[in-house]
Parts: sequence; structure tokens; C-alpha cells
Amino acid sequence: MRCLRGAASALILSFTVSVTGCARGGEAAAPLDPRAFADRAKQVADAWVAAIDASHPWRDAFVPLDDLTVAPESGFADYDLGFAFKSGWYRTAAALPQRSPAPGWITFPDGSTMTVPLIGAKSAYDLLHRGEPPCDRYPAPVSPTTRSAASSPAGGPVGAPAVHTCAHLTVTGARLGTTTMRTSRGAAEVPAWLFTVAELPVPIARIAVDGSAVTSPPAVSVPPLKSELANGFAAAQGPVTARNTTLSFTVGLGDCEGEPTGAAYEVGNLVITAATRNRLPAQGACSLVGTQQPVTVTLKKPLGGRLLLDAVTGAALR
Amino acid sequence: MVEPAAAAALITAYWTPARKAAAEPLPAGAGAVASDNRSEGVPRRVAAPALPAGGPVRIAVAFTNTEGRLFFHSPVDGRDHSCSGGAVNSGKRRLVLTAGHCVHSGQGGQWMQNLMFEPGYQFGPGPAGIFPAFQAWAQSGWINNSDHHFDYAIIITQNGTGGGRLVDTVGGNGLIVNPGRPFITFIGYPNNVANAEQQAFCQGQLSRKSIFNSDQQLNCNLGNGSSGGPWLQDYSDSNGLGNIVSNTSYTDSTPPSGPVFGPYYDDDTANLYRTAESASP
Repeated sequence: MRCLRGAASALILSFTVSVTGCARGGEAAAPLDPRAFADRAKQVADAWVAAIDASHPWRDAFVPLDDLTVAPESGFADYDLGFAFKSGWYRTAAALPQRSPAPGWITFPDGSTMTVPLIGAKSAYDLLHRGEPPCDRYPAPVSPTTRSAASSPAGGPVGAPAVHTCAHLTVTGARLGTTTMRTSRGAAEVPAWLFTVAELPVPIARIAVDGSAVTSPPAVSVPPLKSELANGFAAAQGPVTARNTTLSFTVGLGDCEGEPTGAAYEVGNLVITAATRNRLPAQGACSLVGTQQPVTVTLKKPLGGRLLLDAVTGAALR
Repeated sequence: MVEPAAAAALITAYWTPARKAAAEPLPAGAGAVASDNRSEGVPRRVAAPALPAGGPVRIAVAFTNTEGRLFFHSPVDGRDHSCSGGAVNSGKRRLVLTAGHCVHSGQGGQWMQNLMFEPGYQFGPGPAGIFPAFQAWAQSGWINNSDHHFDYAIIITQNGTGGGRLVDTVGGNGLIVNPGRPFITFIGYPNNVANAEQQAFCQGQLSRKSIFNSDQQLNCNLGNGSSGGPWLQDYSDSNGLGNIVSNTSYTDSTPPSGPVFGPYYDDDTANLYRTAESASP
């Protein structure tokens, strides 16, 4: 099959559809239908615009579109540390500043500012820290044992101790600074506690803005996909990374699927993305486990402060 | 199968706080494994619905905290994965039933890691929190030969993040081996319903896969992530419990098209259950 690159041509609507990546392996997949994806993306965009216009304080409030806990931009070289970050497994090796700071301000790209109450470092830490790794309660290792049922084709039960990531992120200090964050009003500079972590080369940031000054995006419902589209599209999930024009996210794949193909539809201040599945003919059993698969798509311009949505569920991606 | 959107609406609309509060765990001793007498220890029985001439019956099925998503990391492909699973009642109250390939990748493979069971998952962990695995138990026939006839497993869980043992917190299903081919309710998290973020169900009459293969066949279109989801005989809306007679394992056509297949539970299954329970703290 041919690889589609660049914008779909000769479409009269003011959007561009970018398709990146080629299906590899197995039999050729049905090519991505840009019109089906674009139609769905437009449906999602329309639902969001309607929800924003309907009395949501989108243009006046502080509506973060990124996670309030900011991972290091370079990510985690170590799987265990990434897992600890995702799970909120922190511990402190130093006392954290206790008092609440004076109010700070958020600076938006148009130069406007918003004064906001701030929380103290300890309060911010308590929002990061969500539990302990299960290995701290771990029993002594048990060797796999077989209780044989000699003549049984099942072969007898075998047991093994569950292996868990046993990592913490150790906070050694905190200072008040800022972090850049996507918001409803573009990419803003937001007051944040920068926690130095012993295991990482750069701090982890958690916004210092008190929850009372944070507004959630509107609840938006989109019509469900028709089943033939639902089977062909894979929803985009976070975490998302955006570097220059490259956007990365994950999708849930199954057995008997090849590489999915990412797609993005850009209109106004919205980017709607997902992937199309590369469903392969079954050769023997296809197990029904779900697999997290990274997907990359190239945008026409960097994501910047634009709202990023999943085409399948309509959800905002962080 | 109930269309995915309709299923989500039914499920989320049903489970009011009053119904949640009324749900009770399966009493100890009820729903115990029955190897010879299928009706031994079965919980409160509901009348089997009368089937129409074609297709599966569409019955409103309540959301239940007894089933959940199972997340894990594979050291074989380096990726994170998800399955479904159901709590199964036992004296020590810690057991989850799922698919063998959700705990071990099979022939030539390895045990999975970071196994976390999240009962009542809905857009995130349920109110009962997260139950990390303590031990996993599977049949040699799966581990050494990737034989789908034995594609089931039992996980012993640690206390949940909210404290407490699994079945004390979310209840536990019964388990029936040598079940024949009953009418069942699948409950789990297939990718083709709300991107596996919401609990889904499908119902149908089980049948034998072929004269050569005793696997259970279910005529439902279940997408990936549904592996390990229990197939429940006598599922009761009023307490969200049933008797597990099989679990989602595989399909012979590219998902999410059906039919789907699961192992025929027999005396070896009962042996695995008893062995896991004896190893349980």
C-alpha cells in the first residue's frame, strides 16, 4: 500500500488532515479514509465549540489543559521511575516549606495576567503523593512451585510471587517558580512548586495555584461512533508529548493488529487526533489482551497552546 | 450484543448510591467450588430467562464492583497491558480470576509484572481502590504450551489501597466447574466500549466450539481488554454476583468480531483454585 503523507488535497473546508506512518507487516491494511476521520473530527470539534460557547468561562478563567503535575520534558529513562511517577509514589527526605506563599499571578500569551491564591509546598506535595509501592508490603519471595496432577493435560498449578516496581521518587527540596502550561487562553506561565527529586536530573513541577482558582473544562459528550468506524479507529490516550510538530500519544491495541496509523485534524485552536487500526487477518487464535502502543503524528505546526482532543471519545488529552 | 453506547447508558444509570449500598459480598461458604454436583453451594438462584428464537437476551445488567480491570507490564514486549478479571469468593477472601495470558505470556515466556486489579473501574480506579497482586497461579499447560484450553489463572491479592481484603470489600463470585453449556453474562472492559474506560456486558448461551474442541463459545463481539473477564452463570442484578464458569480468552477472527472462546472449567480448574487458596495468606 502507499503511505499517505502531508495534507489531504483539494478539500474545500478550512482544515488540514495529517496522516503519518505506514502500516507495516502482514497484509496491507485498508488505507486511512481522510474523509471519515475528518467528518468525525469535525463532529467532535463542533461539540466542544458548542460547550465552550454555552456559558463556560473559557475565555476568562484559568482552565488548565495539561496535567497539574508536570513530568520532566525528557520523560523517564527508567520504566520504574515512570511507573512511580504515574502512581504517585513519593517520599520526602527534607522538610518542605510549610507556609502558604503570598498570591501569585498567571501570565497568558496576550500579556494579560490573573492574580491567584497559592498553596504551600507541603499541600502541593500531598497532591503528588498518592500512595506507596506494593513492594513495601511484600512477603518473602516464594519459589514457583508445581503441584503436579500427573496425568492431567492441564499439567498442574504453578505459582509465582508477583513482581512489582519498587521505586519511590525522593523529594529533597522545593522552591517556588513557574511552569509553562496549556490553558484555554493559550500556553501560560503558571506559578508552580518545583520539587527536586533525587532520582531525576530535573525537578517535577506541581502547580501552586489553589484549587479555588482552577476551572475544569466543560463536560462534553459526543455521539458514539458507528460500529464500523468504532472498530477501525483507536482512541488517543495520554500521556501526550508534543515536541515541535511531533505529537505522541498511546492507543489500546489488540492481538492480530499491526502498527496503527496516527491522524490529526487541525482547525482553529483545536487539534483532534486518534489512530486507525491496522487489523490483520487472524492466523490462529487472537488473544483478547489489550496493549498500550505509542503512536506519533506530525502536525502542520507545533501544538502550542491549542486544545487537544481524542476523535473517538471526544475527551481532552493532557 | 447490546450496542456499546446503550450498554454504557444502562450501566451508569442503574448503579445508584442506594443500590451500591445494598450490594453485599457473597457469604462465606456459598458459591463454593462444586466439582461433581453443580448445584452445591450455588448462591441464590434466579430463574433463567426464556430465550427468544434467535440472538442473546437483552437484560439490563447492573454495574458491579466485583469485576474490574487488570493492569500489568510485560517484560517480554516491554509494554503495558490491560485485561479484565473478577473477584471469586474463598475463605481467605483475596482471589481474582482472570485469563492465563494475563499473568504469564505462555510458552517460552515470562510472568507479567506490576499486576494491579482495579475492581469497579470507571474512568479510573473504583471506590474500592487498587489491589496489587501478591502471587499468581496458572496451569503448566498454559505456561509451558500456550494451550488455550487452560487459559485461566488465579491471582492472590494484597490488601487494597483503602485497606482490607478484596472479597470483604467488593464481594466475590461463586465458581462452578464442569458447568455444561449454560446461559451466561460476560462482564469486563473491552476496548470497543468507551475505550475500555467503562464496564460492559454481553450475554449469551454457551455452546461447544466444535466436536474436536471443548472450549466454550460465546457469540459476542468483544474487543481487546476483555480477556479474563468472567462468564457468569446466574448473574444477579440485585447483588452484582454470579457463578464463574469460564472467562474470555481468544477469538479466531480479528477482534472485535466474535464469536469469542473461553476454557471449559473442569476438575483441574478446581484444583488450581484450591491450590491458590492454600497458598493465600
